[in-house]
Amino acid sequence: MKILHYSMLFFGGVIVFYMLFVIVSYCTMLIIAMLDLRKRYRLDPSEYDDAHIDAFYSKPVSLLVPAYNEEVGVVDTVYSLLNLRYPQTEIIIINDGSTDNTLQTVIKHFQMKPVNKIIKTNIHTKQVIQIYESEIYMNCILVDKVNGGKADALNVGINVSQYPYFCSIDGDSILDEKALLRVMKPIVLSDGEVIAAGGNIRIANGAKMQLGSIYDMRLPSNYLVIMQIIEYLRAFLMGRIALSKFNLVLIISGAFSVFSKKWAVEAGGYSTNIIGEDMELVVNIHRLIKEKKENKRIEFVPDPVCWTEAPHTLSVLRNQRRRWHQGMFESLWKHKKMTLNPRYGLIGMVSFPYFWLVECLGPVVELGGYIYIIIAFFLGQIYYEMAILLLLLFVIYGVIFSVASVLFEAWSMNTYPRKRDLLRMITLAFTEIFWYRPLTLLWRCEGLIRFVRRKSEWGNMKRVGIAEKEKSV
Amino acid sequence: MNEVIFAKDIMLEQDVKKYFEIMLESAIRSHMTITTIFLKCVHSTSSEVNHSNVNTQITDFLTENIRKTDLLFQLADGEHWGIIFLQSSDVEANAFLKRIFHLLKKDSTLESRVALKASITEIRNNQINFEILVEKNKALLADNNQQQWWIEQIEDYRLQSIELVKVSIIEQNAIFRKVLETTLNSMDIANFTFDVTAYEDGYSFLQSNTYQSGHLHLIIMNDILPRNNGLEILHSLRTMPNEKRFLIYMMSERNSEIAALNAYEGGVDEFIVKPFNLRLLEAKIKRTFARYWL
Amino acid sequence: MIDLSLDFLLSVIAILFIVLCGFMMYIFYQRQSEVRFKKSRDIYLKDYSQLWYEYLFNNEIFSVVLIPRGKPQVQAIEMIFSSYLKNITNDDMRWKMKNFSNQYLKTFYENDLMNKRWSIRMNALYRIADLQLDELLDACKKLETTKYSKEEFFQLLKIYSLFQPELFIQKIKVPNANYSESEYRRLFVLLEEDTFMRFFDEFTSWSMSIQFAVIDTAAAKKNMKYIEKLEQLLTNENDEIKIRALKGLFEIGVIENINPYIPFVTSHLWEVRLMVGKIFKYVPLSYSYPYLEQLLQDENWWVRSQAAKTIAEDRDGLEKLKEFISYSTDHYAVEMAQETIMRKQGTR
Repeated sequence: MKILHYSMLFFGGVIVFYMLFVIVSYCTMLIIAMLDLRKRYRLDPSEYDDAHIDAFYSKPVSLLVPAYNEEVGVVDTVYSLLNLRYPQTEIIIINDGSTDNTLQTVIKHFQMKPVNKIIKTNIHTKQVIQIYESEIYMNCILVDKVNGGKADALNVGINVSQYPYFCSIDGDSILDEKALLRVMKPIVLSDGEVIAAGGNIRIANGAKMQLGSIYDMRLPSNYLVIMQIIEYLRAFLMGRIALSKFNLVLIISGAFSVFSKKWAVEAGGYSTNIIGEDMELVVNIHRLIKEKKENKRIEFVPDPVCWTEAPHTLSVLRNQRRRWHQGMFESLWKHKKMTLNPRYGLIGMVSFPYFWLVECLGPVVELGGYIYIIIAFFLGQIYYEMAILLLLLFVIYGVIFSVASVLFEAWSMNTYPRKRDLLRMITLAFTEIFWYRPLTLLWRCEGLIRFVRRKSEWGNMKRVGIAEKEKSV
Repeated sequence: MNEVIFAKDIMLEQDVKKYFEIMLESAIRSHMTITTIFLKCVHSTSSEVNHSNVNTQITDFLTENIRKTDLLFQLADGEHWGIIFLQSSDVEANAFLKRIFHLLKKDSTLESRVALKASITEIRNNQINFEILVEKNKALLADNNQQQWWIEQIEDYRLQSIELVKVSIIEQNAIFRKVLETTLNSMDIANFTFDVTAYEDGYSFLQSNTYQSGHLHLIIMNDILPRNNGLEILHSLRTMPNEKRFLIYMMSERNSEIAALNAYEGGVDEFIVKPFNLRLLEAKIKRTFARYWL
Repeated sequence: MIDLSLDFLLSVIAILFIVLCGFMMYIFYQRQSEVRFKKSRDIYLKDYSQLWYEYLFNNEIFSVVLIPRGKPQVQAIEMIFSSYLKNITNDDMRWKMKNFSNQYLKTFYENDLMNKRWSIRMNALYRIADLQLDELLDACKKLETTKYSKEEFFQLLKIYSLFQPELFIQKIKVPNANYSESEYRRLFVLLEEDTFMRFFDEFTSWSMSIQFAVIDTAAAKKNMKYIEKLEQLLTNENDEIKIRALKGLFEIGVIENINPYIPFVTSHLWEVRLMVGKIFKYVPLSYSYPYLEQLLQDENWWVRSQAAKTIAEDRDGLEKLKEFISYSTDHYAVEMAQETIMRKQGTR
């Protein structure tokens, strides 16, 4: 009994201290983000946008769209790319040996004709079967290749691309017309000191779209999706912005990010044998920067520019989260030598420990906290206080931070302008700690277990096309 | 009275009649001008002339001097020659007459001095048919007191009928859209009236179906448009039957040569980089429509 | 100890909730006023857009109703002006806008310039440059005496370059203001020719990004006057400058004499050889062929590819390439020539 008592006290203490640590670090990041956004509040962005639509001030970008069985979404994605306000782009759709009608859909829709093209092999990839060019859009190319996974498809895209920067876009995301302009901004303004930039990803479920443009922004009705929207907001306000400010970003989403081709190729392109290929590339580039002792940066752009579809059923969401967590673990593990290694500067000293402690082990400790509360409830009142203390910390950590994120986003960006939507989000944020949080924690722990058991397998995501069902003209 | 003798290979009134109607309709549809000349001999009262001889000589002379695209024929009375000039206005017809009159005055091989007079009809509408044409010209040349080398002109058919042109403006910026609309509406182009409609995106334009009517259709659009890109609209219009009736002006804020090149290869008639001068746009449109009629 | 922190935590939570509630109220209030603002802006837009058009383009007389009363109307006018400026060039229109702004918008922007919010000051600076509010030049200069940000100084430079080129040249030399190439380009592209020409004097005294931006701007302006200046830079010891000057000369696209370029065929930098391969496009193939053939056998893929492309663009180019294939023993060069021929014929 004594042992139980002491261990309860011990674990309770550990969890409380951990929670306090996390809360303090989140607070810090939130304050940094707030200061950053406050400065730009109400700044007119059109000045920059209008000037940089001129090819003279910007740099050409190759847009890579890897597609594996995306016949529903790929056409909309390409439309949103065609509608980008950007002076010089080429669109490269890479069909990664799809087993559905992706190839035929694209060929038919954009009137693709086979062409001979010389490809320079920068990165070794699976075989390319045929390259097509659109008859309608001169800058639109389709590459048909043998299946080799997303990373391999992106590598083929890098080989085919002719411009110094490339941008990877998921086959199921929709871009804002100014997305590329905004994401390229840090790169252009820093004269290439910034070598990679990631956009702010938002959830598109509930928005009305047609032919690649969003024309009405509404909150979806699915609670699971709303929770994810809140989660994305949090991750963005309490993480990305602050990390980016100190060049500590380890993850820029593969759904929409720009890389300097030279650096990406030098870092070996996307790794094909790992789950989180986007994180892996970022870490590899960071590593390369430090090893070459160059003064380069990777940045995160806070403007909401890329819209993606979030899973709307528990099972798909579970798969996604498991995979993300497993992928993150893999990458961190692969580069574990960088942890606390002064050679890698702040990345090694701050980023890596932060990711290990908060992002990776966080779910375990937090889940422990939930279990602790339940056990304490059964064990009787001597532990009540500790349990209540923990619960209150969870409230701050879960509810208050979420509500604050929602409100702050509403103030600075106003994505969901309707009052009702805002109130709904706030109400849901209160329920977070009771269902959504424990569920995602559980799934992430599953990912951890899978990583330990080396059971890497792709969770397939079931999707419906983002756009309302409508026939294209 | 001698029987009228025609040269063997000249076309006759009744043959030409059928062709004329077809030529007229197709010329008007493709905005071309037709001009006709009718010629008649002016006989000096004193001398006796061998009519049939003169007839063949004049026929030969005219045959030699017309272009391959012109059509020469003789009227049933044997006294008049007609020439139809396709794609030509009265300027060319006058120049032609000046030239042959000059040649005839100099020419001494002709048996006796033959003198001609002529009438010119410039045609741009279909309110005329072959009978009226012949009738009017004959009447005009009937007066025997007319001098040698006299040239008459029939002016009744030279005005084209006013044609309706559909104009579609596709531009996202509401203020500028209104500006274009006002500008186009207030434009005054001879012989054309504009029916202007403005759309904010490509989808609503394609939904409207105005582009399916057979009218001349001027389209002024941006290259980047929400919901259906300008380039895609361009492609779908250019693959329609009778696509020549679309006059497509594309505006772009992308100041990049590649963008312009792509647009021209896709079939735009004008590629205009924003910002541009409104007067210049007006002038370009005016010039485009001026080219439609000679 | 736990007792104390429980109470403490509870009060922290309570305070945070109250703060958040207040924040929420504030947001709702703000949204309401935004809606009102938009409404009155849109009314102005609806009522007077046409009047503005008539005034600016059809020489109608100026109507006093157009004078803005309050911020929403100023914003409406900004919207009208910016849509016009973005789409239409017209000196008369510009002049009218400038006069109007100097007369009726001046006080609004003058106040904004003194606002403590950075973003509002920035917006005002944008407008002053866009609408050419030259009467606010002194107010802008005064901004320099306060603590200003790098972005603000950039806008100030832009404003000086528009209204007082002399001051601009003087200020751009200030060493603590370093901008990126693309920002310098934005400044240079608007300069009058003689002001711009002054950057070529003492060229090397400028910072690297200014040097690069000057070369690129000269190229983009496609002005024959700059050819001589760029050719002088070919002897610059900096490789990057050399490459950019070659690129600029390529973009201007007029080559009178091939001789200055011949030494670059054997340059140790592949980028230089690539640019020369491009430039030879503007020279008759009979002059340039020997050099292009040399470049076709280059060790670098890009140089080979460009040389083949340049040859193929000439009328007799394909013949030359076929001839080359028949006698050459350079495996890579022959392959490149074959591929180029194939592609050229494929596109026909």
